[in-house]
Amino acid sequence: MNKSNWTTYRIACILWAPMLIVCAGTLHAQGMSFSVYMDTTPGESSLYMVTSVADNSWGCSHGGYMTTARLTSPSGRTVASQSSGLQASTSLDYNDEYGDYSVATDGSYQCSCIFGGTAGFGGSQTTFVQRPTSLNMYKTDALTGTPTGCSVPARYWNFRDYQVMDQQTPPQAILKVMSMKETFTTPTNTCQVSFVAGDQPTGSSGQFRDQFFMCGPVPVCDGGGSCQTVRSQTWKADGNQVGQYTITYTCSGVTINP
Amino acid sequence: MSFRAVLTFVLFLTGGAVVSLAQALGPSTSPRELAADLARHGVPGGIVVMNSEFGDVSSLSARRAPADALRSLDGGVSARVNQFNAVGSQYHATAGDGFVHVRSVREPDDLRQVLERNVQVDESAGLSARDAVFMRVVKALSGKEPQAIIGTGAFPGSECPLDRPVHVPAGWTSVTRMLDDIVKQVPGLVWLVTYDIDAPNYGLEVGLVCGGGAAVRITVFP
Repeated sequence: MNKSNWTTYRIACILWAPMLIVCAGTLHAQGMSFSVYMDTTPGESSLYMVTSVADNSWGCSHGGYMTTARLTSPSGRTVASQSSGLQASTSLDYNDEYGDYSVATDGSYQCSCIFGGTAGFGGSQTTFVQRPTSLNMYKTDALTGTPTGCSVPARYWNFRDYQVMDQQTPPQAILKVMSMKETFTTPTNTCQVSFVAGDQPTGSSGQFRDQFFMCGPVPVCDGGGSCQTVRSQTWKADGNQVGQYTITYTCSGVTINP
Repeated sequence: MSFRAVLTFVLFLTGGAVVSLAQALGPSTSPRELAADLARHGVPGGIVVMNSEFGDVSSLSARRAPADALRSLDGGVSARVNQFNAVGSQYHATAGDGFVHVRSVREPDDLRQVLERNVQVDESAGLSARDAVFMRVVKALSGKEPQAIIGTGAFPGSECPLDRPVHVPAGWTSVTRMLDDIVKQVPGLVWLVTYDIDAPNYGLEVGLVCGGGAAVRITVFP
């Protein structure tokens, strides 16, 4: 669980309502206190919400709890899920909507201190959903050795380290695990090579390393000639296009634009 | 003023989630998610899907990966397969003989025949799971092992057991049996075949998926 995504915060409020405590003879014997935990996690295509309520009240007996978890998108799309007990969960597809989502919980219960009555609890807050929008290259360098996919040391082996950024101005880093998927077109392959590709989710800081290498015998290069393989690369993070690059491989090295 | 209004108290506390987010998640519909699930739980198998269908693996699945590593699938493999089949109709998953296979319902017949026909492996070899797929399986499909390779992408690290040794025996077998035999020797890997219906030679790629959802693939024909 990524704590940075938790949207819980603390407001302490304990209300003494002696006028409502109809079954109590003393003013100090009852108190009502509820803890509402609301946990939202932005998934790949949906915002997930789990709410859990703790009844910390004293002096009265409570039962018949009903809890509702509610999510509302920036445009007003709402989903709600009600459960008996003190837990509820729901999720809402982004449908290409990012930004401020409303997260709310409300519920009801029977209280022995209220003659024939029902009481309630609830609260809401806002959580900002970041859209993966661009990549920030923060490091590039060369490596030596045998990369994954090669059984012999590479002719050359470069990398770029990227941070996935969001839709804000200026863009802010998205600090969570995201799925990464790359697709290619290859308009030119005079090097006559096979292609190895790898993709894996980002780390929990939203960063990943893109590698570029050539290995094995390339007859035209080994014979002193030249060749060129051009690939157009598109990166998607959690399904959103975040980068497009043109990669040109030659016998001696690789260039990536932009 | 109603009792309800007067007795509404809200207390938010900083702290941890009380119930698991997994309760909010439905069953995954992506073959890649299922493959990652199987790999995570050490269930051998493979998937054959169109390149465009080899979808993403959700952030949440990736996040769950370390904690769930190689534990038994809750409810068993059959239940997970049934759950997958119940969600979508683009793919069909089967479980049998200790393997789980997922295939696109649109898989061309001639491609299926290529993957199931008998091929001869000339000589036994001990090599890494990755090389077994990238060299031997590619040779079984194309007639020759790849020589020059260009690699691009975010490759998995040592947490993915691609370098674990496997034995590829000589003899007659099929490509899918070869792949099954490779992943059976390395719990934590599931094999992968992707194709593009419009590309020459179906743009065939073979590869491996790890428990965290990471994947490596190689083109069968340069």
